[in-house]
Amino acid sequence: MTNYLIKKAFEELSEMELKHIEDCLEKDAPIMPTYSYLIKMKKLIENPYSEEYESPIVIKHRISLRYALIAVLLMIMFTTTVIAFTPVREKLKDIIITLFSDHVDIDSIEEVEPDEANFVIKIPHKIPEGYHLYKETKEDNTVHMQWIDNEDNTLDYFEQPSSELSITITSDSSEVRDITIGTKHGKMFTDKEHNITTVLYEEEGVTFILIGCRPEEEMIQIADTIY
Amino acid sequence: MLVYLSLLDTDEDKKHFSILYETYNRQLLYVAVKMLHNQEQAEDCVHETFMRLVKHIDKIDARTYKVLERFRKEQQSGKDIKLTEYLDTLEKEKKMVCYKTWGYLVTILKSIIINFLRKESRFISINDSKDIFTGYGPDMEEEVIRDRELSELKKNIAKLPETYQQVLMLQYFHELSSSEIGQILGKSSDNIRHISKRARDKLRTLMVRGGYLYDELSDKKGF
Repeated sequence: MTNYLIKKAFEELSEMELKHIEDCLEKDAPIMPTYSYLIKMKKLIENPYSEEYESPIVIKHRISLRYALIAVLLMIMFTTTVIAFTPVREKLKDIIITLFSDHVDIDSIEEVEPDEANFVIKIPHKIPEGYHLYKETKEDNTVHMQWIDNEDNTLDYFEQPSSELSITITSDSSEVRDITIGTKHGKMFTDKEHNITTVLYEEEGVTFILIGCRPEEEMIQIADTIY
Repeated sequence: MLVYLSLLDTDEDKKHFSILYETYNRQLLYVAVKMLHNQEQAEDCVHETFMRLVKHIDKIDARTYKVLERFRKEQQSGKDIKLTEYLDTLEKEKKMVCYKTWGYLVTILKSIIINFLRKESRFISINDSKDIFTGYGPDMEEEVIRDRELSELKKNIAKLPETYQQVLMLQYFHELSSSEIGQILGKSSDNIRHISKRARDKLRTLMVRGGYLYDELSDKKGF
Protein backbone atom coordinates (compact mmCIF):
# COMPACT_ATOMS: atom_id res chain seq x y z
CA MET A 1 0.00 0.00 0.00
CA THR A 2 1.97 2.93 -1.25
CA ASN A 3 1.52 6.55 -0.42
CA TYR A 4 0.56 7.06 -4.04
CA LEU A 5 -2.34 4.63 -3.70
CA ILE A 6 -3.66 6.42 -0.61
CA LYS A 7 -3.44 9.75 -2.41
CA LYS A 8 -5.28 8.33 -5.40
CA ALA A 9 -7.93 6.89 -3.10
CA PHE A 10 -8.53 10.28 -1.52
CA GLU A 11 -8.67 11.94 -4.94
CA GLU A 12 -11.41 9.62 -6.03
CA LEU A 13 -13.24 9.83 -2.70
CA SER A 14 -13.29 13.63 -2.88
CA GLU A 15 -14.61 13.44 -6.43
CA MET A 16 -17.31 10.96 -5.41
CA GLU A 17 -18.29 13.06 -2.43
CA LEU A 18 -18.65 16.31 -4.37
CA LYS A 19 -20.63 14.59 -7.15
CA HIS A 20 -22.93 12.98 -4.62
CA ILE A 21 -23.52 16.28 -2.84
CA GLU A 22 -24.28 18.08 -6.10
CA ASP A 23 -26.80 15.34 -6.99
CA CYS A 24 -28.39 15.71 -3.55
CA LEU A 25 -28.54 19.50 -3.97
CA GLU A 26 -30.50 18.99 -7.19
CA LYS A 27 -32.98 16.60 -5.65
CA ASP A 28 -33.44 18.00 -2.14
CA ALA A 29 -35.18 21.21 -1.20
CA PRO A 30 -32.78 24.15 -1.53
CA ILE A 31 -31.15 25.42 1.62
CA MET A 32 -31.71 29.16 1.74
CA PRO A 33 -28.95 30.87 3.75
CA THR A 34 -30.25 33.30 6.32
CA TYR A 35 -29.82 37.03 5.92
CA SER A 36 -27.45 37.25 8.90
CA TYR A 37 -25.23 34.56 7.41
CA LEU A 38 -25.06 36.37 4.08
CA ILE A 39 -24.12 39.62 5.83
CA LYS A 40 -21.40 37.87 7.85
CA MET A 41 -19.95 36.21 4.75
CA LYS A 42 -20.08 39.48 2.81
CA LYS A 43 -18.03 41.18 5.54
CA LEU A 44 -15.59 38.29 5.61
CA ILE A 45 -15.10 38.41 1.84
CA GLU A 46 -14.64 42.19 1.81
CA ASN A 47 -12.15 42.12 4.61
CA PRO A 48 -10.86 38.62 5.25
CA TYR A 49 -8.00 39.69 7.53
CA SER A 50 -9.90 41.91 9.90
CA GLU A 51 -8.97 41.23 13.51
CA GLU A 52 -12.54 41.98 14.59
CA TYR A 53 -13.75 38.53 13.74
CA GLU A 54 -14.30 36.09 16.47
CA SER A 55 -15.38 32.55 15.92
CA PRO A 56 -19.17 32.40 16.18
CA ILE A 57 -18.88 29.04 17.89
CA VAL A 58 -16.43 30.34 20.48
CA ILE A 59 -18.61 33.38 21.13
CA LYS A 60 -21.59 31.21 21.92
CA HIS A 61 -19.62 29.17 24.41
CA ARG A 62 -18.20 32.33 25.95
CA ILE A 63 -21.72 33.62 26.45
CA SER A 64 -22.75 30.33 28.07
CA LEU A 65 -19.71 30.51 30.35
CA ARG A 66 -20.58 34.07 31.24
CA TYR A 67 -24.09 33.09 32.32
CA ALA A 68 -22.71 30.14 34.27
CA LEU A 69 -20.25 32.41 36.08
CA ILE A 70 -22.99 34.90 36.96
CA ALA A 71 -25.14 32.05 38.30
CA VAL A 72 -22.28 30.78 40.48
CA LEU A 73 -21.60 34.28 41.84
CA LEU A 74 -25.27 34.78 42.67
CA MET A 75 -25.35 31.46 44.52
CA ILE A 76 -22.27 32.41 46.55
CA MET A 77 -23.80 35.79 47.42
CA PHE A 78 -27.06 34.16 48.45
CA THR A 79 -25.29 31.59 50.62
CA THR A 80 -23.16 34.29 52.26
CA THR A 81 -26.25 36.38 52.98
CA VAL A 82 -28.06 33.46 54.52
CA ILE A 83 -25.10 32.59 56.76
CA ALA A 84 -24.44 36.23 57.75
CA PHE A 85 -27.93 37.13 58.96
CA THR A 86 -28.94 35.23 62.10
CA PRO A 87 -32.71 35.46 61.66
CA VAL A 88 -32.45 34.12 58.12
CA ARG A 89 -30.11 31.38 59.27
CA GLU A 90 -32.40 30.35 62.12
CA LYS A 91 -35.42 30.34 59.88
CA LEU A 92 -33.62 28.20 57.32
CA LYS A 93 -32.53 25.84 60.08
CA ASP A 94 -36.14 25.47 61.25
CA ILE A 95 -37.29 24.75 57.72
CA ILE A 96 -34.61 22.11 57.23
CA ILE A 97 -35.45 20.47 60.56
CA THR A 98 -39.15 20.41 59.74
CA LEU A 99 -38.58 18.99 56.30
CA PHE A 100 -35.95 16.38 56.96
CA SER A 101 -36.15 15.37 60.56
CA ASP A 102 -38.58 13.10 62.38
CA HIS A 103 -36.61 13.76 65.51
CA VAL A 104 -37.72 16.32 68.03
CA ASP A 105 -35.79 17.37 71.07
CA ILE A 106 -37.85 18.76 73.85
CA ASP A 107 -36.11 21.40 75.85
CA SER A 108 -37.55 23.02 78.87
CA ILE A 109 -39.44 26.07 77.88
CA GLU A 110 -39.03 27.82 81.12
CA GLU A 111 -36.29 27.06 83.50
CA VAL A 112 -37.60 27.83 86.90
CA GLU A 113 -35.07 27.42 89.60
CA PRO A 114 -36.63 25.06 92.08
CA ASP A 115 -36.79 25.97 95.64
CA GLU A 116 -35.07 23.08 97.37
CA ALA A 117 -37.33 23.37 100.32
CA ASN A 118 -40.30 23.04 97.99
CA PHE A 119 -39.11 19.95 96.19
CA VAL A 120 -41.92 17.67 97.12
CA ILE A 121 -41.76 14.07 96.18
CA LYS A 122 -44.87 13.11 94.32
CA ILE A 123 -45.83 9.68 93.05
CA PRO A 124 -48.55 8.32 90.79
CA HIS A 125 -51.36 6.75 92.76
CA LYS A 126 -53.08 4.78 90.06
CA ILE A 127 -50.98 1.86 88.95
CA PRO A 128 -52.26 -0.55 86.27
CA GLU A 129 -53.51 -3.90 87.49
CA GLY A 130 -50.90 -6.61 87.57
CA TYR A 131 -47.98 -4.22 88.12
CA HIS A 132 -45.91 -4.30 91.27
CA LEU A 133 -43.20 -1.94 92.46
CA TYR A 134 -39.87 -3.26 91.29
CA LYS A 135 -37.43 -0.48 92.11
CA GLU A 136 -37.46 2.85 93.90
CA THR A 137 -34.71 5.46 94.12
CA LYS A 138 -35.01 8.76 95.91
CA GLU A 139 -31.81 10.77 96.18
CA ASP A 140 -30.44 14.23 95.37
CA ASN A 141 -33.75 15.63 94.26
CA THR A 142 -34.27 12.77 91.84
CA VAL A 143 -37.03 10.22 92.12
CA HIS A 144 -37.18 7.08 90.02
CA MET A 145 -39.77 4.41 90.51
CA GLN A 146 -40.33 1.37 88.34
CA TRP A 147 -43.25 -1.05 88.29
CA ILE A 148 -43.22 -4.29 86.41
CA ASP A 149 -45.84 -6.90 85.50
CA ASN A 150 -45.69 -10.64 84.94
CA GLU A 151 -44.77 -10.16 81.32
CA ASP A 152 -41.85 -7.87 82.17
CA ASN A 153 -43.65 -4.79 80.88
CA THR A 154 -42.37 -1.79 82.82
CA LEU A 155 -43.84 1.47 83.93
CA ASP A 156 -41.26 4.09 84.86
CA TYR A 157 -41.80 7.30 86.78
CA PHE A 158 -39.25 10.10 87.07
CA GLU A 159 -39.37 13.32 89.05
CA GLN A 160 -36.52 15.77 88.84
CA PRO A 161 -35.98 19.56 89.04
CA SER A 162 -36.05 20.88 85.47
CA SER A 163 -32.76 22.73 85.92
CA GLU A 164 -31.04 19.51 86.85
CA LEU A 165 -32.88 17.33 84.37
CA SER A 166 -30.56 14.55 83.32
CA ILE A 167 -33.08 12.63 81.35
CA THR A 168 -33.23 13.39 77.63
CA ILE A 169 -36.36 12.37 75.86
CA THR A 170 -35.95 11.89 72.10
CA SER A 171 -38.68 10.68 69.90
CA ASP A 172 -37.27 8.98 66.83
CA SER A 173 -40.20 7.90 64.70
CA SER A 174 -42.60 8.88 67.49
CA GLU A 175 -45.70 10.99 67.26
CA VAL A 176 -45.66 14.00 69.56
CA ARG A 177 -48.74 15.84 70.70
CA ASP A 178 -49.73 18.33 73.32
CA ILE A 179 -51.96 16.99 76.11
CA THR A 180 -53.78 18.27 79.13
CA ILE A 181 -53.40 16.44 82.42
CA GLY A 182 -56.07 17.89 84.70
CA THR A 183 -55.11 21.54 84.62
CA LYS A 184 -51.57 20.92 83.57
CA HIS A 185 -50.18 21.04 80.02
CA GLY A 186 -47.75 18.43 78.87
CA LYS A 187 -46.48 16.41 75.92
CA MET A 188 -47.10 12.82 74.90
CA PHE A 189 -44.73 10.75 72.77
CA THR A 190 -46.09 7.60 71.21
CA ASP A 191 -43.60 5.15 69.74
CA LYS A 192 -45.97 2.88 67.87
CA GLU A 193 -43.21 0.61 66.67
CA HIS A 194 -42.22 -0.37 70.20
CA ASN A 195 -45.58 0.40 71.80
CA ILE A 196 -44.10 2.82 74.32
CA THR A 197 -45.90 5.94 75.49
CA THR A 198 -44.19 8.74 77.34
CA VAL A 199 -46.02 11.47 79.21
CA LEU A 200 -44.08 14.52 80.30
CA TYR A 201 -45.08 17.73 82.01
CA GLU A 202 -43.54 20.44 84.12
CA GLU A 203 -44.88 22.13 87.24
CA GLU A 204 -43.19 24.74 89.40
CA GLY A 205 -39.74 23.98 88.08
CA VAL A 206 -40.06 20.21 88.42
CA THR A 207 -40.37 17.79 85.52
CA PHE A 208 -42.50 14.68 85.78
CA ILE A 209 -42.06 11.83 83.33
CA LEU A 210 -44.05 8.65 82.94
CA ILE A 211 -42.95 5.92 80.49
CA GLY A 212 -44.84 2.72 79.83
CA CYS A 213 -46.50 0.30 77.46
CA ARG A 214 -50.05 1.24 78.43
CA PRO A 215 -52.63 2.87 76.14
CA GLU A 216 -52.40 6.64 75.77
CA GLU A 217 -55.59 7.44 77.67
CA GLU A 218 -54.51 5.23 80.56
CA MET A 219 -51.12 6.94 80.72
CA ILE A 220 -52.85 10.33 80.96
CA GLN A 221 -55.05 8.99 83.74
CA ILE A 222 -52.00 7.66 85.63
CA ALA A 223 -50.24 11.02 85.20
CA ASP A 224 -53.31 12.75 86.58
CA THR A 225 -52.90 10.82 89.84
CA ILE A 226 -49.39 12.14 90.50
CA TYR A 227 -49.42 14.08 93.72
CA MET B 1 7.37 35.22 4.64
CA LEU B 2 7.51 37.61 1.71
CA VAL B 3 4.98 35.47 -0.12
CA TYR B 4 2.65 35.62 2.87
CA LEU B 5 3.04 39.40 3.18
CA SER B 6 2.17 39.82 -0.46
CA LEU B 7 -1.09 38.02 0.19
CA LEU B 8 -2.25 40.35 2.92
CA ASP B 9 -5.18 42.57 2.07
CA THR B 10 -4.69 42.46 -1.66
CA ASP B 11 -7.54 42.61 -4.12
CA GLU B 12 -6.21 39.44 -5.68
CA ASP B 13 -6.51 37.68 -2.35
CA LYS B 14 -10.06 38.85 -1.81
CA LYS B 15 -10.94 37.80 -5.34
CA HIS B 16 -9.59 34.28 -4.74
CA PHE B 17 -11.44 34.02 -1.49
CA SER B 18 -14.60 35.20 -3.17
CA ILE B 19 -14.22 32.57 -5.92
CA LEU B 20 -13.84 29.80 -3.36
CA TYR B 21 -16.86 31.02 -1.41
CA GLU B 22 -19.09 31.31 -4.46
CA THR B 23 -18.07 27.89 -5.73
CA TYR B 24 -18.16 25.76 -2.58
CA ASN B 25 -20.48 27.56 -0.19
CA ARG B 26 -23.67 25.69 -1.16
CA GLN B 27 -22.05 22.30 -0.93
CA LEU B 28 -20.42 23.05 2.41
CA LEU B 29 -23.67 24.38 3.81
CA TYR B 30 -25.43 21.22 2.64
CA VAL B 31 -22.92 18.95 4.37
CA ALA B 32 -23.14 21.03 7.57
CA VAL B 33 -26.95 20.98 7.63
CA LYS B 34 -26.98 17.21 7.05
CA MET B 35 -24.57 16.68 9.93
CA LEU B 36 -26.05 19.13 12.41
CA HIS B 37 -29.75 19.19 11.43
CA ASN B 38 -29.76 22.83 12.45
CA GLN B 39 -29.30 25.57 9.86
CA GLU B 40 -28.14 28.24 12.29
CA GLN B 41 -25.42 26.03 13.72
CA ALA B 42 -24.54 24.83 10.22
CA GLU B 43 -24.05 28.42 9.03
CA ASP B 44 -21.85 29.16 12.03
CA CYS B 45 -19.67 26.16 11.23
CA VAL B 46 -19.39 27.08 7.54
CA HIS B 47 -18.54 30.64 8.52
CA GLU B 48 -15.86 29.29 10.85
CA THR B 49 -14.55 27.13 8.00
CA PHE B 50 -14.07 30.13 5.75
CA MET B 51 -12.47 32.05 8.59
CA ARG B 52 -9.93 29.26 8.99
CA LEU B 53 -9.46 29.15 5.24
CA VAL B 54 -8.37 32.79 5.39
CA LYS B 55 -5.52 31.84 7.69
CA HIS B 56 -4.46 28.90 5.52
CA ILE B 57 -5.39 30.12 2.06
CA ASP B 58 -1.81 29.65 0.96
CA LYS B 59 -2.42 25.89 1.09
CA ILE B 60 -4.83 26.17 -1.84
CA ASP B 61 -3.25 25.35 -5.16
CA ALA B 62 -3.13 28.54 -7.26
CA ARG B 63 -4.33 26.61 -10.32
CA THR B 64 -7.67 26.13 -8.57
CA TYR B 65 -8.60 29.79 -9.03
CA LYS B 66 -8.04 29.76 -12.77
CA VAL B 67 -10.20 26.68 -13.22
CA LEU B 68 -12.95 28.00 -10.98
CA GLU B 69 -12.90 31.43 -12.63
CA ARG B 70 -13.51 29.80 -16.00
CA PHE B 71 -16.29 27.75 -14.45
CA ARG B 72 -17.94 30.93 -13.08
CA LYS B 73 -17.73 32.50 -16.52
CA GLU B 74 -19.37 29.42 -18.07
CA GLN B 75 -22.19 29.71 -15.55
CA GLN B 76 -22.58 33.46 -16.05
CA SER B 77 -22.82 32.93 -19.79
CA GLY B 78 -26.05 31.11 -19.14
CA LYS B 79 -24.93 27.49 -19.14
CA ASP B 80 -26.70 25.43 -16.52
CA ILE B 81 -23.75 23.27 -15.57
CA LYS B 82 -22.70 21.72 -12.33
CA LEU B 83 -19.14 22.09 -11.07
CA THR B 84 -18.47 18.35 -11.27
CA GLU B 85 -19.80 18.20 -14.83
CA TYR B 86 -17.50 21.04 -15.79
CA LEU B 87 -14.51 19.44 -14.09
CA ASP B 88 -15.13 16.17 -15.95
CA THR B 89 -14.44 18.05 -19.18
CA LEU B 90 -10.98 19.07 -18.03
CA GLU B 91 -7.72 17.20 -18.00
CA LYS B 92 -7.05 15.16 -14.93
CA GLU B 93 -4.51 17.43 -13.28
CA LYS B 94 -6.73 20.51 -13.41
CA LYS B 95 -9.72 18.48 -12.28
CA MET B 96 -7.85 17.10 -9.28
CA VAL B 97 -6.70 20.49 -7.94
CA CYS B 98 -10.37 21.49 -7.59
CA TYR B 99 -11.30 18.22 -5.90
CA LYS B 100 -8.30 18.65 -3.68
CA THR B 101 -9.54 22.10 -2.68
CA TRP B 102 -12.97 20.65 -2.00
CA GLY B 103 -11.41 17.91 0.13
CA TYR B 104 -9.46 20.54 2.05
CA LEU B 105 -12.52 22.67 2.76
CA VAL B 106 -14.82 19.80 3.69
CA THR B 107 -12.15 18.33 5.99
CA ILE B 108 -11.91 21.62 7.88
CA LEU B 109 -15.70 21.83 8.04
CA LYS B 110 -16.14 18.31 9.38
CA SER B 111 -13.40 18.88 11.95
CA ILE B 112 -15.19 22.02 13.18
CA ILE B 113 -18.52 20.22 13.32
CA ILE B 114 -17.12 17.24 15.23
CA ASN B 115 -15.47 19.55 17.79
CA PHE B 116 -18.71 21.49 18.07
CA LEU B 117 -20.77 18.35 18.63
CA ARG B 118 -18.29 17.16 21.27
CA LYS B 119 -18.59 20.45 23.13
CA GLU B 120 -22.36 20.23 22.90
CA SER B 121 -22.07 16.67 24.32
CA ARG B 122 -23.86 15.38 21.29
CA PHE B 123 -20.98 13.29 20.02
CA ILE B 124 -20.17 10.43 22.28
CA SER B 125 -17.16 8.77 20.81
CA ILE B 126 -15.10 8.72 17.74
CA ASN B 127 -16.44 5.26 16.94
CA ASP B 128 -19.87 6.73 16.43
CA SER B 129 -18.65 8.67 13.47
CA LYS B 130 -20.46 6.26 11.17
CA ASP B 131 -23.48 8.43 11.92
CA ILE B 132 -21.66 11.41 10.50
CA PHE B 133 -22.71 12.27 7.00
CA THR B 134 -19.87 11.26 4.70
CA GLY B 135 -21.60 12.04 1.44
CA TYR B 136 -19.71 9.55 -0.64
CA GLY B 137 -22.97 8.32 -2.08
CA PRO B 138 -24.35 5.02 -3.28
CA ASP B 139 -21.45 4.54 -5.67
CA MET B 140 -19.38 3.59 -2.67
CA GLU B 141 -21.23 0.30 -2.52
CA GLU B 142 -21.95 -0.31 -6.14
CA GLU B 143 -19.12 1.15 -8.17
CA VAL B 144 -17.75 -0.76 -11.04
CA ILE B 145 -14.45 -2.19 -9.95
CA ARG B 146 -11.75 -0.88 -12.18
CA ASP B 147 -9.07 -1.56 -9.75
CA ARG B 148 -10.01 -3.90 -6.89
CA GLU B 149 -7.22 -2.82 -4.62
CA LEU B 150 -7.98 0.88 -5.01
CA SER B 151 -11.67 0.18 -4.61
CA GLU B 152 -11.05 -1.82 -1.43
CA LEU B 153 -8.85 0.98 -0.09
CA LYS B 154 -11.51 3.60 -0.72
CA LYS B 155 -14.14 1.51 1.03
CA ASN B 156 -11.88 1.00 4.02
CA ILE B 157 -11.01 4.68 4.21
CA ALA B 158 -14.74 5.42 4.27
CA LYS B 159 -15.09 3.02 7.21
CA LEU B 160 -12.51 4.88 9.27
CA PRO B 161 -13.70 7.31 11.95
CA GLU B 162 -14.10 10.81 10.64
CA THR B 163 -11.09 12.28 12.44
CA TYR B 164 -8.82 9.56 11.05
CA GLN B 165 -10.04 10.31 7.53
CA GLN B 166 -9.40 14.01 7.99
CA VAL B 167 -5.81 13.52 9.12
CA LEU B 168 -4.98 10.98 6.40
CA MET B 169 -6.61 13.19 3.76
CA LEU B 170 -4.52 16.20 4.73
CA GLN B 171 -1.40 14.09 5.20
CA TYR B 172 -1.45 12.09 1.98
CA PHE B 173 -3.70 14.04 -0.37
CA HIS B 174 -2.64 17.56 0.55
CA GLU B 175 0.83 16.53 1.71
CA LEU B 176 0.81 18.74 4.77
CA SER B 177 3.04 18.36 7.78
CA SER B 178 1.73 17.39 11.21
CA SER B 179 2.08 20.96 12.49
CA GLU B 180 0.21 22.35 9.48
CA ILE B 181 -2.56 19.80 9.94
CA GLY B 182 -2.62 20.63 13.63
CA GLN B 183 -3.15 24.29 12.86
CA ILE B 184 -5.99 23.54 10.49
CA LEU B 185 -7.76 21.07 12.74
CA GLY B 186 -7.01 22.86 15.97
CA LYS B 187 -4.91 20.07 17.50
CA SER B 188 -1.29 19.73 18.56
CA SER B 189 1.20 18.21 16.15
CA ASP B 190 1.87 15.37 18.62
CA ASN B 191 -1.82 14.57 18.67
CA ILE B 192 -1.90 14.61 14.88
CA ARG B 193 0.99 12.15 14.75
CA HIS B 194 -0.78 9.83 17.16
CA ILE B 195 -4.00 10.01 15.19
CA SER B 196 -2.12 9.37 11.97
CA LYS B 197 -0.42 6.30 13.44
CA ARG B 198 -3.71 4.89 14.70
CA ALA B 199 -5.41 5.65 11.39
CA ARG B 200 -2.72 3.88 9.41
CA ASP B 201 -2.80 0.88 11.73
CA LYS B 202 -6.55 0.62 11.45
CA LEU B 203 -6.44 1.01 7.68
CA ARG B 204 -3.80 -1.68 7.45
CA THR B 205 -5.91 -4.00 9.61
CA LEU B 206 -8.94 -3.44 7.38
CA MET B 207 -6.92 -4.10 4.25
CA VAL B 208 -5.40 -7.28 5.72
CA ARG B 209 -8.91 -8.53 6.56
CA GLY B 210 -9.82 -7.91 2.94
CA GLY B 211 -7.00 -10.19 1.88
CA TYR B 212 -4.39 -7.61 1.05
CA LEU B 213 -1.04 -7.97 2.75
CA TYR B 214 0.68 -4.71 3.48
CA ASP B 215 3.63 -3.44 5.31
CA GLU B 216 2.93 -0.48 7.53
CA LEU B 217 2.29 2.71 5.63
CA SER B 218 5.34 4.88 5.73
CA ASP B 219 5.20 8.21 7.39
CA LYS B 220 5.44 11.16 5.10
CA LYS B 221 8.25 13.62 5.43
CA GLY B 222 7.40 16.27 7.99
CA PHE B 223 5.57 13.84 10.31
